[in-house]
Amino acid sequence: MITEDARIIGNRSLGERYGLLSLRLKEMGRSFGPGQFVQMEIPGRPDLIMRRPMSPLRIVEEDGEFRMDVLYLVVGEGTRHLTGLREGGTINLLGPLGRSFAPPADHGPAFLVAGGTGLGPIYMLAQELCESHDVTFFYGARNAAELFCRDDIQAFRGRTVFCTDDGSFGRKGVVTEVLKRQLSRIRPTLYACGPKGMLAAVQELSRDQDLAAQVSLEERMGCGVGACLSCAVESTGGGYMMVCKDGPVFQAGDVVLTNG
Amino acid sequence: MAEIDLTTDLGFMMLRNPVLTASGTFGYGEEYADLVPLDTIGGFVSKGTTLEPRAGNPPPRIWETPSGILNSIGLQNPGVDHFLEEILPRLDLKGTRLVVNVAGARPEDYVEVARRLEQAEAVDALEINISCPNVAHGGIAYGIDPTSASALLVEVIAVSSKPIIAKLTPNTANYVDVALASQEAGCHGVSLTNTFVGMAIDLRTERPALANLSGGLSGPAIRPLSLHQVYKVAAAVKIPVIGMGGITTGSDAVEFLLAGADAIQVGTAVMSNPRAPARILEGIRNYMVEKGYSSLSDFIGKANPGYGRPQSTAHRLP
Repeated sequence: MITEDARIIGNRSLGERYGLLSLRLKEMGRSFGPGQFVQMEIPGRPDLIMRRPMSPLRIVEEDGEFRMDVLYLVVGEGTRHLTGLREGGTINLLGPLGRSFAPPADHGPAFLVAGGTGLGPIYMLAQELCESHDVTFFYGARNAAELFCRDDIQAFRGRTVFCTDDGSFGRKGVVTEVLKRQLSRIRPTLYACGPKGMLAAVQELSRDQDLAAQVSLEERMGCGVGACLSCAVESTGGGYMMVCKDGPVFQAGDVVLTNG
Repeated sequence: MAEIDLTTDLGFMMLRNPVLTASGTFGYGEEYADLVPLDTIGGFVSKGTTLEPRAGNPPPRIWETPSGILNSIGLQNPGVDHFLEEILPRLDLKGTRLVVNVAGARPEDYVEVARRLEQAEAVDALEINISCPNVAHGGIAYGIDPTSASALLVEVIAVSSKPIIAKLTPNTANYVDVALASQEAGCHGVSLTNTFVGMAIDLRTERPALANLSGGLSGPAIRPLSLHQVYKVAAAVKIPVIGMGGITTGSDAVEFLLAGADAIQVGTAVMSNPRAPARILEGIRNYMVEKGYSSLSDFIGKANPGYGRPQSTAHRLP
């Protein structure tokens, strides 16, 4: 875990609600597991004193340094400010933080499920698993315009299933419903990152069908290192765990997922 | 040019510099070990520690406000025995001072925690939390009334040989009286301020943003409010005052020192930037160079005519 001033080498809008920030890093890209995240300051806004937890979409080694692409959703003042950042500026990151996804314990097939900004960790996981495992990549979004990196995802070794709420690309409907229908033939390990409803559906599937599942959670976060105890998630064993340090990746059976 | 000496003498405790990290923002010193080396700070104050483990409040527990953070953690902690048996033995303090923040629902809980901490030589002082705004029982209830504060502190002091610091709440018009009552009770120092009670409403859910409804506000938003209370208390008491409330830069820290704080704590700023304690120290040092000061006593309390150098309480030390 280190802090580093990353240089902004690109920042482009992806439709109305999303942006893709490209950062140049010297050190932090070196050891980043899929599911791990950074705490990103909002530069130039000292009044926004909390860092924002962000997951990389990919980390590419370039000339001994690293390019980190971060897909972000504009949800409030801080992320709106991010849309105005220009190339050449710097942004301070704290990372890598949290626990990453673990490969399937049985070396068997993997079903990867991504929704919204949950694409980042799942994309990184696919990169890591697709050469050595039987991977199916499920990716859902509101519409075709919000299904990002489609060509890159299709280029991964393995199968891909795209779903949109409005049917404008891939299958119409919820990605977990499509996934469910494929479970009769195969017993994969499930991996998911996305909206809480999606994670709850994956959790239910893993319970009903007795499948191993790892889910990556999001919560309002303070320090990011397990010190302030803000990002609590209820543990099925009682009490709370911290998303930043005990997670963000949890065994699906270990956490209580409530909609809020 | 004169050598700059940042050594801080609180009478009951010597610090290598006046910057401590505040309770609740620094865990038990391990979480930030990579980023805030313990040998760079004067000391740290542990998470509020209770007799029994506490699960804490349901999420959401944190919410950003302009230049501030509202939190309602609810004193989540593993309990004093876990701290003593599991955490303390593996802590590498590197010569920094360890202050344990003690919390409880009933006076006997505080007393028992203090009693159990007696055996821990590595614990340099206790900070008695009579100011937590986020629990249903105890905490702030003892800190808003001088009589209850005094009664509780007397009981704790009776069982402890360690220096006792009362952590005061700003959420009372009585704070100077509570500080004086803490001094009367035999406390070695007071620290202030804890957070200010506040709330926010989430427009998306149209409900309070924090599950606990209200929380404690920290960060630069409260700095002038805390500074004023530190100034008033420093003018009233004769024991050392540890000031805090939104300190983010060296200049912020210098303001508190000029107001009469003998040392300062940094909390929320560490969450924003783990380099904050180092930056604050550098800022204090630069200020001293610029002004030609060689030690902290050259300017502590300078802006506060009522400030008097703390009287030594070292006689209470073994």
